[in-house]
Amino acid sequence: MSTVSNFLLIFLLLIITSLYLFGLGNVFVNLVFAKNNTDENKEESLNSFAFTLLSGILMNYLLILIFQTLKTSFFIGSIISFFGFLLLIKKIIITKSNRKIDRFTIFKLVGSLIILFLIFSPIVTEPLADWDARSIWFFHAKMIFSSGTIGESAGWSHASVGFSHPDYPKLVPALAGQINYIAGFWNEYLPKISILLLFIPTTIWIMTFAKNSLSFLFLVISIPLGFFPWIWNGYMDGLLAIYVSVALLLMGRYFQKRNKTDLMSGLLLLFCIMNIKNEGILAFIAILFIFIIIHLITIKIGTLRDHFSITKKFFLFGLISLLPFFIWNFYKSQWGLTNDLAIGLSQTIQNIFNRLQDGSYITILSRSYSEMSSWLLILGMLLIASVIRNKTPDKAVFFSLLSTLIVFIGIFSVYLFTPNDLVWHLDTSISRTMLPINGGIIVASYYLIEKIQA
Amino acid sequence: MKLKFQSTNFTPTNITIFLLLGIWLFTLLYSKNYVFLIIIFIFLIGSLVIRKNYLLFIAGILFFSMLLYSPVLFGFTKLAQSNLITLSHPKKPMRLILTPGSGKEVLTHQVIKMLDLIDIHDIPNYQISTKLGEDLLIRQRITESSWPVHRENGSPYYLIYEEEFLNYQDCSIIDFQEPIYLVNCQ
Repeated sequence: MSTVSNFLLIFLLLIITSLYLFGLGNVFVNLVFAKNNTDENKEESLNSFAFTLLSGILMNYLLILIFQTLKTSFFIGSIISFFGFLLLIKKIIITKSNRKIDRFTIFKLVGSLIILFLIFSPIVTEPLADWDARSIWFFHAKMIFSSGTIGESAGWSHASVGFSHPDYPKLVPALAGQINYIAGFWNEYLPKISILLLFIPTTIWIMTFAKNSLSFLFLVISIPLGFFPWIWNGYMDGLLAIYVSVALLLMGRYFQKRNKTDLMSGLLLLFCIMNIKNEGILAFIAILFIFIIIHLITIKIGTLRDHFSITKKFFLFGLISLLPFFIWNFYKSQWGLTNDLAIGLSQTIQNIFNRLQDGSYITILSRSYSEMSSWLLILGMLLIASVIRNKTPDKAVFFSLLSTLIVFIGIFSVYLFTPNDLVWHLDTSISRTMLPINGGIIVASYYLIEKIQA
Repeated sequence: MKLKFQSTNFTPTNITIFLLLGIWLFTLLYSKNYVFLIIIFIFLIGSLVIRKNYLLFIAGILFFSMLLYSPVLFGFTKLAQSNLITLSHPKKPMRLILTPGSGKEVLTHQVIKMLDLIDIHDIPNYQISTKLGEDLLIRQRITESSWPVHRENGSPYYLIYEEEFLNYQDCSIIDFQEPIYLVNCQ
């Protein structure tokens, strides 16, 4: 086949997969947010698009977990997705008369496509070569692909795969396995398309912040490139860092503009990160905790009614979005898949005390600091500027920094109690585990620049 | 000359920020990170003195720090390099993405030979010798790359190094691909 036809085939695969996921997401959105959003403003259309797509990714994972076999889940998913498109067509017909082409929205969409086009090459044209990508994430994808199921018969309990941490979350491996299952073959390139697909909603969300400003320039450079090389080598750390960063960005904007789509989008990202990597659970708890605390501190009595009126929607949204996480954990316990960190054992406490006494915590702190020093330098300078120029940081800044601090404390604790050799554990992971922390610092810096330039 | 600093409000938030910055600066001094201290000093002086084009000053210092100390420059270089290669020679990557089994070249020489032996003889499962198993890179790579053909305890098929042959004298040689033997120990 010629290069052009190969390119068209890959492009077609991306489009069809995205449409399938979008259709699935649209059913979820209509089911949960039953009210027809005909009053949705132009600025929100991109936000909603990204939300629907990511919902589709999560719902696809839910279907795979429920039905286990790729064939059944894809068949049922296709029917649901088709139904989703019918709902979309109905919505377009209803709102046709109200719609006007917003040029700035198109610019943002084009911007997203350019970014996705630029990251296509390093992600998809380079084979899976690095350690965790091969030994963990895309090995799991291969296991799902070759057995055609995410169930126990994929081989999670097989003696030879113990090194691969088969208990790890399966959002990306399931999608990668599914894509290759549909393509009908396995190689070391095609499954990486799953990473690109997961970048589509976050790229669109980042572009919703687009404006002719220094803050946006800083954001659009730092968020993808600051996580080099972890966003394209098949590790989940870069993906997790970007999801955490975009969640903080959106929830930060919610504090400023009180736009519920931002809040929902941020929460959806948080529900997703738990299914990307185990550190996502920590980030989920930290961000949600700080969000609730800040929200409760700043809530006005007059707005209490509004908050109660959306509780039912939030509840359904949260329940469905949390299902994949709970189902995978249920399977894990059924199949006896346990985590190598052995959290909760008495040895854990012993390790903490030992490392606090022998000064190992200083090693952890100094190694962590060296990984985030460059972003801390930027944050520090911006804080100096904000104080000198009387631009007091707003809630979005504190929200990002406090959430990041809690995530950092969590990761610091993991290093304190790790049953592995500490130096080995730090050497092999600290540059990756600090990525969400750097993401949080970047987001805080973004909001500081925005404040200073205002 | 009136410095910008003179109009700063000492609110609790600002005082907290100053305290945190103080701790950070002390840490930088303690760890002898003089380069960062110089950058911060320049920034501080600039923030106090510059009135016009302050945003330009911030942008300059920010991007200077970003390019010099964060992975942004490396990321950009890699991004540009990868895109240039793909755009100038698109044929190979586009073909490889859609070719079954492509991308094995990233594996070590031994693993590629082991995979070839497994494929050629269509064996249902295998074991690897002690010496091969001691090398983590070989053990993990062959396990994942040969999947769904499992590395199985009890399998009669062994993949061994040539120098280990003495330990497998009762086994019959099925095939050999430098430096790996496939033997049957049934």
